[in-house]
Amino acid sequence: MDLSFSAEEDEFRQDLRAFFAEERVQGILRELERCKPRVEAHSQQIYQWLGERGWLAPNWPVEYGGAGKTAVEAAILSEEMARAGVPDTVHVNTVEIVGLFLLLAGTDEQKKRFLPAMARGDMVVSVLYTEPNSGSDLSSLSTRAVFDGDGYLLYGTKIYSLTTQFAQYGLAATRTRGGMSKYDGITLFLVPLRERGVGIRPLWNISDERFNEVVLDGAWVSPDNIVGPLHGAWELINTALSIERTGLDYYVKMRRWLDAIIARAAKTGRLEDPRIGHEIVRLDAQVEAGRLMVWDIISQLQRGELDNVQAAMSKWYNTEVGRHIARLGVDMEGLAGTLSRWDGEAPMGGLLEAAYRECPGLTISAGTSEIMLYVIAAVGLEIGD
Amino acid sequence: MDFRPSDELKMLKTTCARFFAAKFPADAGRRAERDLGAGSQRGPGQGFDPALWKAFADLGVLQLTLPEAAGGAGLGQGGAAVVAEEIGRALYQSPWADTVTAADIIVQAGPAGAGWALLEGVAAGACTIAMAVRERGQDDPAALSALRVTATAAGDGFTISGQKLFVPFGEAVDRLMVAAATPHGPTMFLVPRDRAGIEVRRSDDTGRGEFCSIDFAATPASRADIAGAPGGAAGPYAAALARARVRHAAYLVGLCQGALDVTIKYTKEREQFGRAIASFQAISFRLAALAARIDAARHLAGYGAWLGDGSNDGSDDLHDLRRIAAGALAMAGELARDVTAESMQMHGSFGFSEEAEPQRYYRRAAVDALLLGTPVQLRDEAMALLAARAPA
Repeated sequence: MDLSFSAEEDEFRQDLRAFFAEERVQGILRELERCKPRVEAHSQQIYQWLGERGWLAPNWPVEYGGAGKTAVEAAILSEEMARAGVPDTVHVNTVEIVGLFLLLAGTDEQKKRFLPAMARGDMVVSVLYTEPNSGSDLSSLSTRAVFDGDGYLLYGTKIYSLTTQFAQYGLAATRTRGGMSKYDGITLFLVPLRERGVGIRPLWNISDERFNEVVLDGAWVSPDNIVGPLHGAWELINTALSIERTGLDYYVKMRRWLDAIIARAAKTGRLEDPRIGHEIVRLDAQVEAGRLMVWDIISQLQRGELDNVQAAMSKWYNTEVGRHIARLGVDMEGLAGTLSRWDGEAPMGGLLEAAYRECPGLTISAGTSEIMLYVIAAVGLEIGD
Repeated sequence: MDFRPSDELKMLKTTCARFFAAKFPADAGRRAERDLGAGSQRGPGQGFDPALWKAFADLGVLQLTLPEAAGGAGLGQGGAAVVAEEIGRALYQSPWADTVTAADIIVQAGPAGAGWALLEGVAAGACTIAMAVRERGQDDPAALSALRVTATAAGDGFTISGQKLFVPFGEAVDRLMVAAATPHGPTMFLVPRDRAGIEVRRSDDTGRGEFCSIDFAATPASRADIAGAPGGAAGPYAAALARARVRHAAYLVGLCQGALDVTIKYTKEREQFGRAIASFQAISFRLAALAARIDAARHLAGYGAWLGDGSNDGSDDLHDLRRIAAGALAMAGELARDVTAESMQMHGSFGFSEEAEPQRYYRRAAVDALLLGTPVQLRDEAMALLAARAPA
């Protein structure tokens, strides 16, 4: 067991910190804090600066715009983005999720066409899975793709999709044939979103990240944009979901929220009041344990391994702690804790007020807590149906 | 970054697990416990079993944390945490934990301090030591500042007077490490248990273990009996306690895993409404959540052990180790009560029976969750440590 970072990994972290501290980055982050309601804080410019150095996708091969580093450096990037307060959802969807699909199953032509642009910060891709009647049970999806002789016409509605308002492409799960089972006949397409037959509109929710509804009404997609096997994407979707399920993106949020609480409590003297301080150290231990679970999985990925049960545990654990952190952040301040960042007098700049609105989504997205418990019970403990 | 245990640690784990499976199965564990309310009355095979202890010591489990100069074998706190977890899984009660902690203090004092010559015996299991720290009205095992047991000057040496409580295996050990107030400050004395003026009475507690109260009536002690410097106990004890807490957190993780394994097995076999009760999500989801929490606690204890091994080189001020140790032990202590209470619930009335395993885990959790600090005391310490490093 060796829980230390290599000198090279430490140096990458220091380089990132120095970059995020640059005035050009800080200036943008200050601007983002002043975003109006319903305008999502996101900066493609910061991504592009990272992309210039191969840092937006540090673990990708250099030929695809990465820096040829490992899963460890990719995780360090996520930690440091969160620490600096750089919005990361576009990065998660484009690089960590869709990029991973292309690395796993893309053709050489697809890799060349999409990966360098994504790694440069010039292309945004979102994920189009969920439908009005298909959530946790994704294999029940009903969006159809019909072959018209040259390509495919897509019909169906995708909802609750994040970052699609910024995206040029969406990775859509569709049904290309009625198979023998509901797992057969599923195909993934990279759908150009700014074309005829695609309607995008916001579904406003309580968090600061917008949901999108994407109506596909005869949107045409070339067969060159099929990712993975025609009719046979189900297994690929599950492979990618489990690789993506490290808990990393959740843990970095928990750390950021709790650090804000600790800093605030130190300033107000509440850190030494056991009524607040005890809850803080309880959560601090949980976030620390969550960090270790995440890094355990990252180190597995670095070796090309993955324990799906451990990954489900990490996702479950790192998101369940969220509601307690958000609740403490609000409670600690009393009613002032419910002031939003647009009020001007919100403690912690409204970060924990926003966390309270965001955290119910964390135990739902990328596999609900119930699905995680099901995986742990069925696969790990070999119990349950 | 690599979380995998080394081959040596894996082998150590297997060795311990096989030892307990062969020499200390669940029924042996039940037989070793005294009857409820038995006080000092020992039935056959109850209490400390010297033959079993010798066989356990022969595995090398007492050498792990000792320096080479004192017969140590170098797997360190990481190795000790592995052993502690297997002890917890098997619920084996022995002087192992306190002997390792006392040896830590002896080692810190160096070859000139008391007990260095005993370390060879410690490594072989021939010399066992119990920590005598707690007192009436002084239930915080971290606090040496207000001790009522005193060592007053008498001739060239001291006499120790007062009462210590909750001394594990106080009847069975060879030596006692006694924290006493002196005019110089808190001081650790290492004395043979059969020295004059020492009276031992076994307590009767939920765990049915081997806690004793010990009365010291003008027990003589010399300067040569002092581990470390007169008045200098606080620093070495705090460091040893932090490492002991990490090992104890690992022990509790093992206890939790043992209770969970027993419960999974039972709920797969027990049928109601025509199916195994484990197939109901009302059961399986709760077990899955506990499994994830155990995994979290195991990671935190493992991190503590890793920090503990780095804490020997003198480069660290122990701040992180003490904070993680307190946090990990508070987490493991809360979890042990949660897991064992759920285990009782899922076993139904059967879990209460004397011949059932869940009640043993449940009773041990009551004692072991508090042994090196209650979760509240531990959080108090962690809070102060966090505040000391918080952004200004």
